[in-house]
Amino acid sequence: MISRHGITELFSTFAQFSGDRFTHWATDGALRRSMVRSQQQIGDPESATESFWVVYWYRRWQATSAPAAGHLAAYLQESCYWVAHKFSTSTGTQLGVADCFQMAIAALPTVLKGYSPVAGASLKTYASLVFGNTIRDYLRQQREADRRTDWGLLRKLSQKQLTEALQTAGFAATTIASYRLAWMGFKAVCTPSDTPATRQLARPTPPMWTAIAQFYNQQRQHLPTQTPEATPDQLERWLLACAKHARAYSNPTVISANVTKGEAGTGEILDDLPDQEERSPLAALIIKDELEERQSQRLQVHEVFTTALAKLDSESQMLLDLYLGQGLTQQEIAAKLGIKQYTISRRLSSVREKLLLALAQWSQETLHISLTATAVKGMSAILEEWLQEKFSASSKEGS
Amino acid sequence: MMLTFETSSQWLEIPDTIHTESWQQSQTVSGDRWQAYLNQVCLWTMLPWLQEKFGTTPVVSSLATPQFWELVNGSAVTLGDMRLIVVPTEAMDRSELRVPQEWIDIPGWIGDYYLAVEVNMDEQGLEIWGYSTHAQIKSQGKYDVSDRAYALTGDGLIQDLAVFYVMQQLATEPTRTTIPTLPDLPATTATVLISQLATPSVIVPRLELSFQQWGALLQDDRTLQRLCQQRARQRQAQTLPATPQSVVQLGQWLQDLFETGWQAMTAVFESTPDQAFSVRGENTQPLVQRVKPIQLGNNLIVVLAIAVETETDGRRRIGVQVFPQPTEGGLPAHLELQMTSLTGDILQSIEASDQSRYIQLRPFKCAPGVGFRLQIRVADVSVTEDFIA
Repeated sequence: MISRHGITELFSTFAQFSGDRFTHWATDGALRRSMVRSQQQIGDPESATESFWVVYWYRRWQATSAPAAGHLAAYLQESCYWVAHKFSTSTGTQLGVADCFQMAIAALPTVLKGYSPVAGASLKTYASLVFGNTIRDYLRQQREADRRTDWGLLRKLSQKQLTEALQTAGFAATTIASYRLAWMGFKAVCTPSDTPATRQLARPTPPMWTAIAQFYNQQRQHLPTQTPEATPDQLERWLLACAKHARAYSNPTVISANVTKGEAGTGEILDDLPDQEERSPLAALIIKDELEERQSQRLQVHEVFTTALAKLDSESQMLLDLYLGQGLTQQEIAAKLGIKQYTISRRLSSVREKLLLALAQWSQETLHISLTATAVKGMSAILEEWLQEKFSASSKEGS
Repeated sequence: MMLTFETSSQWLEIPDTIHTESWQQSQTVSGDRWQAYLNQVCLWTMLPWLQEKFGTTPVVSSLATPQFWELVNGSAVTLGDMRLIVVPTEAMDRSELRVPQEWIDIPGWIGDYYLAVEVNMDEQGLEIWGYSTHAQIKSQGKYDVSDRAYALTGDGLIQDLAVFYVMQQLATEPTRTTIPTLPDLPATTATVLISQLATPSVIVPRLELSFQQWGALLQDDRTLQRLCQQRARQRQAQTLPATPQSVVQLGQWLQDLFETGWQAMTAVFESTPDQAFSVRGENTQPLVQRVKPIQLGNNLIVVLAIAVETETDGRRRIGVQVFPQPTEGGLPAHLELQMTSLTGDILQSIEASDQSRYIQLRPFKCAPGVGFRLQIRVADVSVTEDFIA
C-alpha cells in the first residue's frame, strides 16, 4: 500500500481493492471539496497538522456534522488496512486482506462512539484496537460456525444476530417474529442429552419436534400479529432457514454492506452543505490550544506509567518484557516458564489493570474529570500507545 | 501497529468435577435442564476467580439451585457490598447481553453489575466478555416482550474487564435505578398459579403468567420454593413410573426412609383431604402416610396415597387411595385402580364413577416382605408401582 501524503488526501480518499490487492486511493469529490473549503475557512491552513484535523473533524462529528464521519473514515483507512493486513497474513486465516478490511471498517461507528480524546489518546490507536478486536472476534466466530451442524449453530446465536440475519435476508417482521419463536422453542427443547457439547448437535428427535410445536403453538398468541398453528415440518423448515441465513450473514461483504453509508462515512454525503458553525479562525485557535494542552498531558501520563511500571514486582516486569519486549506469545511464555497459560494470562491482565488504575487515579486527581466506565475504557488506548512506544525498541511487530 | 494485549475478556476453564456434578444435578430438574446445567457450571467456575480477583469471599444467593435455574437464567453473587448478576449465554457473537426481566424489575433481585458470560461447553470453558450496570441496562437496554428480557447491544457494554476492576477501586459510580414494587400475591392465587405452572407440559413457566404475577410469585422466597419443589415433583412423577426400576419398601417407611417422589401429604395438599386414612387409636405403631403425584398421559396428574401401619401381631395394615390434584374437583370417570400380586393375579380392583372425588382399595393386611403391584389406568394409559410390605 502506498501511503498518502497531503492533508487533503488523508481526509478525503479511500482505499480501493482489486480482488485481494490494494490498488489505489480513490478521491471522494464531496469530501475533497469539504476539506478544501474547511482549510480556507480556518485561516493559516499551513499550521494545521494531521492531529489538528483529527480533533477538528472529531468535534464536528460530535456536533453531528454530516461530512465529519466521512473525513474520519477516510483518515482511518490506513490504520484499518494495516490491522487487516496483519490478520490476513497471520497463519490459519482464510480471509484475504480485502475481506478483513471490510470486516474491520464496518466497526467504524463503534470506533467513533467509543473513542474519547482524554489526555491525548490518538484516534488511530483506539481505532486499531477496535479494528483488531472486530477481526479477531469475527475469525473466532467463523471458525466456530464452520465446526457446527446447523442445529449446533442455532444454539450459538444471539437473538440479535439471528434477527439481523433474517432481516438482511429480506424476511418480513412478522415472519421473523415467528421464526424467532420457533428458535426459542428449539433452544428450550433441543438440548444435548449425553454430553454437554453442542457442536455436533443432531437434528431434534420426533418427540422434541412435538414439544417445539407445542411450545410454538402455545406461545404464538403473544406474537404481535395473529399467526396460524405450525406443524413440526414447518418448524423444521423455518429453523433450517434460520441456520442458513445465519451462516450467510457472517460473510464479510454482507456485514460491511449492512453498515449504512452515512455511518461508515463513505459516499452519499450531501455536497456543499452550508456548515458555518465553528469553521472560523477562532475555532481553529481553540483546537490548537487544546492540542498543546494534550501534548503536555501526554508527557505527564507517560511519567505516571513509568512510575507505575517501576512499582510492579520483578516477576510482572519480566512477564511484560517477554510478552511485549520480546514479542513471545502467552503459550510460548507458559512453556518457557513452566507455568500454565491461564496463569500468564491472568498475570498480564492484572498488570494491565494496575497501569490503567494508575492512570485513572491520576486523571481524577489532576484533570478533575469524573470518571465513568466509558472514560476509563477510552483510557486503555493511551496505555496501549505508551506500551507500544516503550517496548517498540525491542519489538519487531508492526508495519 | 498491533495490539499489545490480546484480550480484555477473561477465559476460565471449567473443572471436570464441576462439570460432572452439575450434569448429574441438572438431570433431576424438570423443564430446562440444560439451562440449569449451564448456570451451575458458570457460577461454580466463577466463584474461585471472583475470590481471587477481589479478595472477598463471594456469597451466593439461595436461588442458586438447578430447580431455580430451569425457571430463570442467571445467578446473583454478593461481594462485600456489591451485588453481581451473572448472566450466562451460549451465544458466541458478542452482539448483545440479554438479561431476563426478573433480574431488572424485581426490586429485591436487582444487582449493581451484570456480567455477560459465554459458556462454551465444547471447549469446556467460559469467557466473561463484558459487563454493564442496572442503571444502564434499564435506561439503554431494549425491552423485548417476546422473551421478557432487556437487551443491551454489544457496544453498549464495557467489553474490558480491566475497566470493571479499575472502577471498583475508584469512587463508585451510581449503578442502580429505582424500580417500582410489585404487588403481593394473595396466598390462594399463589397456590393456584403454582399448581398451574407445575404441570410438566409447561416448558417455559416464566412466559405463562403476566410479569406482575410472575414477579410477585418469585419475589416471595416461600412461593418460589414451593414452585421449584412442585415442578421437581411433577418431573419425578412424569419420568419414574414409566419404567419402575425401584420397588417401594414400605418397611423402610416405618423408619422414616422414603423413596424419591414420595412426599408428605401436606407437601401436595394444603390440608389433608377429609377422606384420607387417619391415625387409629388402637394401634401401637403410628400410621405413616405418603403421597406421590402420578402423570397419566399429557394432561392428567393424580395423587397416589399409601398409608401403612404395623398391627399388634406384626403384620402390616395397608391403605391405598387415589386423589385428584388439589386444583381438581374429582377424578376422571373410569379411572381404575388395581392391585395385583407381583405375578399378575388380580387381588382387588376399583373404578371411579363420573362423580368420584377419590377412590380407594379395601384396607388389607399382609406379612412384612410380601410384594404387591398397584396399577392406575385411564383409557389406554397406565402407570404401575411395585411395593414390598
